[in-house]
Amino acid sequence: MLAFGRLFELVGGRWPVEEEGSAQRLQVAIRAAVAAVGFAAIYGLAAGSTDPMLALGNLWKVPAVVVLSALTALPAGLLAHRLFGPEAGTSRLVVALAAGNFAATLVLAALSPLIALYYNSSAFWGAPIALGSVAAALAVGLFSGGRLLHRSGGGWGMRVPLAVIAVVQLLALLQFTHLASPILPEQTVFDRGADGVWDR
Amino acid sequence: MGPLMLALGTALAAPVHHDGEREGDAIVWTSTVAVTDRCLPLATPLTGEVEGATVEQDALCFAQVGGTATVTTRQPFPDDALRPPLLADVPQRVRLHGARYVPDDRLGLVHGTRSWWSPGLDPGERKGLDRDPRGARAAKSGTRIYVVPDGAITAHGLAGRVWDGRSPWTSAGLVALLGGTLLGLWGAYRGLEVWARRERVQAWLTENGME
Repeated sequence: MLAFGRLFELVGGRWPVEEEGSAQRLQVAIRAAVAAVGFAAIYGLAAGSTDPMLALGNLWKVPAVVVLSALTALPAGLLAHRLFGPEAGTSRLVVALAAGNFAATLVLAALSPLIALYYNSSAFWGAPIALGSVAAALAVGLFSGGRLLHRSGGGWGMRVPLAVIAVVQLLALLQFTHLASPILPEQTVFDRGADGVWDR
Repeated sequence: MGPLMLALGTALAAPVHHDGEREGDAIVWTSTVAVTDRCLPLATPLTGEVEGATVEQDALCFAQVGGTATVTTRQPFPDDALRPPLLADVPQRVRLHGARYVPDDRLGLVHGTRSWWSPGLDPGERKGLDRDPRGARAAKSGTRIYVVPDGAITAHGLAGRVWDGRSPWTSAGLVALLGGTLLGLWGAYRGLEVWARRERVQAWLTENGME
C-alpha cells in the first residue's frame, strides 16, 4: 500500500525515488501502470453504468485502451529520447509516461461518480460529461508527465520525446477506442477512430 | 399504429396496412402483412387474441410463405402493448443496446455487439452504402429502425452487412493483449527487484569505499 501511496507524489510532480536507481524507477512506472488499469476500470464502470453488459465489458476495455496505447507510444518515445534526449534519463522518461497515464486515469476515476450520476439521471448530458472528463484527463496527464520530466532536469532534450509520446499515444488511443468500442452507450465520432474524426 | 406494427423484419419493408376499431374495452386491429418468412418476429409480445396467424415464441407464424395475410388482433384497451417501444419513426436519435451479430444478409443492416445511435438509412442511400459500407454508420434521422427480439437491427430498404473494420476476433485479441501486457509487467517487476537489489548493493559498496 505504501508503494502505491507513493505514486501520488508523481501527480504532484515529485520524484518519489529520486535518490534511487533505474530499476526502482522502472518499478515505480509499473506500479503506476497497474494503478492506471484500476482507475481506468472505474471510469469504464461509470461510463457504462446504464447498461450492465456495457459496464462489464468496460472493465477490460478502458484499461486495455489506456495501457495498450501507452505501450504503443513507448518505442517511439524511447527512439526520440535516443535521438534528441540527453544520454541518461531513459527510465525517467518511462516513469513520466506512466505517471502521465496514472494522473490521467486518476482524473477519470475521480470524475466517475459524476459521470455515473449524469448517465443515470440525464437523457443527454451523460456523454458530454464523459467525453469532457476524458479531455480533462488528457490535459492533466500531459501536464503531469511533462512537469515530472521538467523537474528531472532533462532540459529541452526531454521535450521532444515527451511530444512524440503524447502524439503517438493520442493517435493510438483513437484507434484502440475504435477497436474497443462501444465504451460509451452513445455512438461518438471516436467510435470510428481516425475515420470518424477526419473522414466524415 | 397497431400491435402488428410490432411485427418486425422484412415484413415491414413491404406495404402493411393497419386499421383499428374500438370494441368495448378492447381494440380490434386488422392488419395486412407481407409474409416474407414463415415467422415474423415481434418486438413485444402480443397479449390479446390473434386470428390469421399463430404466436410462437414472440413471433407471428403463418401457414404459408408468400403474398400477404390478414391478421386480426384483439387487444385490451388501454394497453401498453399498443405502444411499439422498439419500432419507431425515429424523430432524432434512438439508443439501441446489445445488438448481436446475426449472420443473415436478408435482415439488412446487421451488426455485432454495439450500441447505436440511429444507424438508419434512407432507401435511396442503398447504392452509396454498397460502395462504402462504413458509411452505414452515418446517422440519419427520420428513418425507421426495426429491432427484432434476438437483437438484430434492420433498416428499411437496406441490404448487405455492414463492416466497420473490425474482425470478430478484435475483442479477443485486445483481451489477450491486455492480459499479456499485465503478465509481462508482473514479470518485469519481479525481474527489476533483482536488478534493484544489485543496485543497492553496488551503491552500498561504493559508499563504503569497497568498489
